[in-house]
Amino acid sequence: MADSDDDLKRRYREIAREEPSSALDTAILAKARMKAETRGKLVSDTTFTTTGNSRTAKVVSDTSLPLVSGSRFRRWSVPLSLAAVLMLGIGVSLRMQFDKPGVETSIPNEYAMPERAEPAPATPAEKTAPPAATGMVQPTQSPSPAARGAPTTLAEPVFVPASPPASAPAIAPAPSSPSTELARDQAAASPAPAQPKERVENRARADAAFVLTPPLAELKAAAPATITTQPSTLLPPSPPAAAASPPARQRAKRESEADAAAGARALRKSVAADPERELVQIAKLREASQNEEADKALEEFRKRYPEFKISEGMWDRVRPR
Amino acid sequence: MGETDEQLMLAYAGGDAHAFESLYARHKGPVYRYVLRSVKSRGEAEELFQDVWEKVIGAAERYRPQAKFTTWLYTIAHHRLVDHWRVKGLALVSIDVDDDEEEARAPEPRAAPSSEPHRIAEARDTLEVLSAALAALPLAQREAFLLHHEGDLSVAEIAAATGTNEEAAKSRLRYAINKLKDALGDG
Repeated sequence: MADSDDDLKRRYREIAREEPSSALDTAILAKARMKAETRGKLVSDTTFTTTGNSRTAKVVSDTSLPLVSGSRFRRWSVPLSLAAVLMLGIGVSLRMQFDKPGVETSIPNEYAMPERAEPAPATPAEKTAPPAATGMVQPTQSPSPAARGAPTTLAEPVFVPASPPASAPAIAPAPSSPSTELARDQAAASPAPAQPKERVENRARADAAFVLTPPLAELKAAAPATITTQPSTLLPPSPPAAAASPPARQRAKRESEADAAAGARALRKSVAADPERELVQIAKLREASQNEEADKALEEFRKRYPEFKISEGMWDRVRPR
Repeated sequence: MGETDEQLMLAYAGGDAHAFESLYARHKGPVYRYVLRSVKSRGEAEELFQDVWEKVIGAAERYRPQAKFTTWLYTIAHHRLVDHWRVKGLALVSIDVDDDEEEARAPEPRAAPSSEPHRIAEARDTLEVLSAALAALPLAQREAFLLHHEGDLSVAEIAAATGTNEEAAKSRLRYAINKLKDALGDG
């Protein structure tokens, strides 16, 4: 039986001579080589261990591993990006804090006031100005009697209602532009025919400081760009330069400009951030019986936030009366 | 003694193209003849042969040496042939049924006229007789014979490669050998 099997096998071997064509061999081997090259790039580690007499190859072939050439970049790209963003953020914050302390914070600028202004030298014009004529008391080295109890810096402005108009708004309504507002305030508050320029600048500075407070800031949001308008250019011609010393006046003017710009920025930020806060300010106007201003403010609010849903409780507080 | 088939395959999976060349050189002839004698058409055989090796290339990363490489290789070839037969409409049932039932069945379709019995009778040369007798075998028996003689597979490995049990594989192989011996006049 075994012999016949061997004979059959031998005979079969004699007829079994067919081979694939060389073209087929070439095609298959080329495909295998191409695949091996691709695979060789992906294989990150190939180790061979000897187990007894047989050599066993342990192949670590993980296609999820990164390519060798790009692994370093991929490994460090995310941490480096995060570090760069962090450094940039810190740098910008420090720079902003250095330039304008308080500007970098996102907190509404109730407490973020412009830089402390150096008190200007007393001038005769200031001394002669009637204290009751101004809404804001600007502290100076020689404050007026009404302002003596007031803080000495712009950082803590005190709003003193002007004596003649009891109905004069503590907070100017939004629709009026700063220029008209200033002119109206000027006309109402100034019994003197011509105000000394130093006084006007102080007032402008006070206004600029005051816009940082949320009520006015929010109400003026309708025309934020006009806030930076130089108040001094809108006022009647100032008295001759003899009224105040030129360096002090220029310095005060520069401070006033800077304060106005900072106030405008803070104003835009605070108003854009929080409609709720604006509603609260309108409610405060209602509580202060300043309904006309509250109506205007509410109208402006509606224009700015047409889709903002006012809660019932808040609506009771702000609705027109 | 060079590296085993399994080592070569693992080396190829690791990116060694030369390992595949060695492996291919070892097995290309037997696999080709196994396929060729299963389809009897050189064009189809070359197409199927290329498919088989492409599957080997593609599956190299997943290859684990749990069994002999040849068992794995001929399993791939068997599956490719089954697909081919299915497309051709050939009865695959003959592979899986018992050989006694198979004997009772009508002759399977043959791919080439040389497989017809009268051609066997006309063969003058012994080798031609053997070739014709081999072609005349039922698919399952011929496959068992080819896997045994070309792939050098044992009965168990034939069973594993063809997805059947050892008894059936053994029976098919026995039938095939006996028929061929009869054809050669050795029975």
